[in-house]
Amino acid sequence: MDLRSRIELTRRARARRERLTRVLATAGAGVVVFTLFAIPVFLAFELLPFAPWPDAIGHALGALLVGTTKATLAALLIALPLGIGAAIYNARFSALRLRNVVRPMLEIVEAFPSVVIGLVAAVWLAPWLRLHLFQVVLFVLGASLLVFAVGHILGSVRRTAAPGLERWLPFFLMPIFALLAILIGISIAPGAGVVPVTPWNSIVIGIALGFAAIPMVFSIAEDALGLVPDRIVDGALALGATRWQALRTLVLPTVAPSLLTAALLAAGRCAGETMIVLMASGNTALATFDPLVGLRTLSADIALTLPVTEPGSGAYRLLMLVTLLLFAFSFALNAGGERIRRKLRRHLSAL
Amino acid sequence: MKESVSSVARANDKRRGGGDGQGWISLAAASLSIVLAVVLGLLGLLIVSGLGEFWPKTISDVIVRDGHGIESHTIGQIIAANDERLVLRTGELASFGSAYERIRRSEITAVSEPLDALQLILSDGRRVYARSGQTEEILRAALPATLIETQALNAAGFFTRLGIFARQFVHFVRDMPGPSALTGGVFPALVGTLVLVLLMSVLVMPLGIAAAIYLHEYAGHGRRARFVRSAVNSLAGVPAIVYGVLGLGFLVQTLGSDLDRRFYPERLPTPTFASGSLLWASITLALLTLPVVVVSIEEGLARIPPMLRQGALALGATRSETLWRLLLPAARPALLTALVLALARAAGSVAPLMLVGVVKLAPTLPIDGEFPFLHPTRQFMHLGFSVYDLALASPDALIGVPRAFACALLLIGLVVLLNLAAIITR
Repeated sequence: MDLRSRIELTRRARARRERLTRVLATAGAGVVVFTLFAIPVFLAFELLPFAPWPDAIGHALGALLVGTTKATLAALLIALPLGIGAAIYNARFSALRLRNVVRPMLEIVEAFPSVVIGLVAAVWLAPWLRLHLFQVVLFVLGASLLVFAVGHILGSVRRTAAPGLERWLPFFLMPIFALLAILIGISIAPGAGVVPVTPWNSIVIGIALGFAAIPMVFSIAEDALGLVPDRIVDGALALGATRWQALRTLVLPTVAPSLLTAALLAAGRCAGETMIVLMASGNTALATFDPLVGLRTLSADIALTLPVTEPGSGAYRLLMLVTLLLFAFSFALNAGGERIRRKLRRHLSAL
Repeated sequence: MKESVSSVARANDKRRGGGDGQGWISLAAASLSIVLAVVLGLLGLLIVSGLGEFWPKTISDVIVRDGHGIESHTIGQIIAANDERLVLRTGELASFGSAYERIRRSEITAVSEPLDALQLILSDGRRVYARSGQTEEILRAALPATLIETQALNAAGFFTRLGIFARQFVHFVRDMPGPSALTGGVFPALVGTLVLVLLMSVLVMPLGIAAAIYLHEYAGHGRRARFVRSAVNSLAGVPAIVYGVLGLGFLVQTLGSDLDRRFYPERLPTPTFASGSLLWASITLALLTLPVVVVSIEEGLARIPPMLRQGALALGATRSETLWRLLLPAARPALLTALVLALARAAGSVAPLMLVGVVKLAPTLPIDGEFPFLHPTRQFMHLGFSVYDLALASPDALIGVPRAFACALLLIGLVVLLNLAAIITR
């Protein structure tokens, strides 16, 4: 009798604890769902009051949209080739020891505060690039040609003679690049060719934002490339394909969806990035796609004008609209990107 | 097996004329080498510029002849030079904060680095430069401040300079700022950053754990659960500035002013809760990091082998007992990873803070010995914002920019430490 009542008591206590846990977990999830809806609902609610829109709203919004698009495109132009190229090499050709160093290193770079990248871009890169734009263009062209030459030589020497060469190629290329850079630096004076009117222009933004987005592109692309099973590639090689052919006709088409994901997520990140553009873009709202002039993005506009805007005014409403646009845009890009990535992961793990 | 395939591959490459595709492979390698070079270059630049601020520079004696043929001496450290002028940091005798002079190269007759040049540190933190004969005169002019330390920088060897460097760095980290952010240390910014991220993690972790448990244990795999899961995932990609707008518009201006009207009507119109503060900033950051935390904890819970919980349930444990005694302890690495990810993300995001209470110079620390010790309604300083403010909004770029680099280095150090901790614990 005594034992039974004690069991009954324990049973009740356990049931109570069970309920409590459930309630706590549900409350936590409730807060998450609340935030989920708080942002769009709050922004939409702030848009409702019938304050007049400021004059020339179309003009102001247009310039910001053009600025954001320009910054994002410039950044993607830098981040996608470099990030995907680096991922291809790292996942399929690099030495294992190099691979194991590069991945955590870029993971740490991904966590770099953007204000630091903005600082370097605004204070150091922008003034330097203004005088060395021509040299940089020359370097990119020259380096690409050199790299192809190196590849050709690598292809024709017996690889058994230098088996490690290709797997450590990035380090062998660095001195070549350094030499080329010094050569260009000596032969061409600063300020040759085109000099942009302002140091804070879209090219600087492209480089800085692009650099900030590279780790993200890299990790998504590398993740997918590493999931492609070796035996598929081995089969292609056995049938007589070169390694490049196997990569181009087999691996790249398989992981193409995740490259698209990388592009979408990177676009979302670049479009919403605030500190880099705030510091290095000049913040001039110009509705032009000229890469040599400054720009102002949606996010920088919010950071600059919201603290000095009267709540409820027309300008405030415009800012809420801008924020809503930014939210919807990045949310949609992320949702789309994640969906594609999940599908591909399922497909790859079924292979 | 693997070896034979790769020898087949080599043979294939060879047969196709070698060059086929090798150029593209090298180009991929080149992308990696460019990325690595930029990363290393950026780190090098940050370390050199950030620490270079504290390395004692040689003191120069510049002799200038003006239009009337009269010669005068200027003593200081050369901090910038181009073809036209030199910029000399001179003593802070007249004005607090480093004074400096621009001198035209055409007027300079001689530049020397005399061994008897001294750097005098005064009791109020000012730095003054002098030749050894002038010390008395300068100290009279500097009253009521007294001399604390005399450093003969030019005569100093490497290790003496290293000692001075270390002391200056420690002062920068540990000291309160002077009357403007351009002098003194950045201690309040460091404390502000730390207190902010700690408060944020206290807020975000319980919520994140609860939500992850709900999604993992109770939500199931229905349409609604899938929707919430993917929405949380997408929320992780929403720009930080959007959360900043939510923080300012909803937390500060709506919730804050409502609290003020209800509980502190006597203090109005001075706001108590209705202005940017540590409290609202940490809540904003908690909302910002919540998706990352939820996703990473849920992944951790999903990695635990299902046999473990099936065994526990078969032995008669209730769901909550399985959870508290088995699953959460097993998911500890995932919890740590989530925490550290959140800390790193929070320490690095500056944009939302600019809307919810960060200031360039706060008169008081958010944490002190006065009851109730933590003051969440105070405004605060933040390393990331100091970087932005010193580099672009300071009245004096020559002093502001090196200090901005030093702050950036501190911030990076903090973030990298947190990330290394994440990589190690997982």
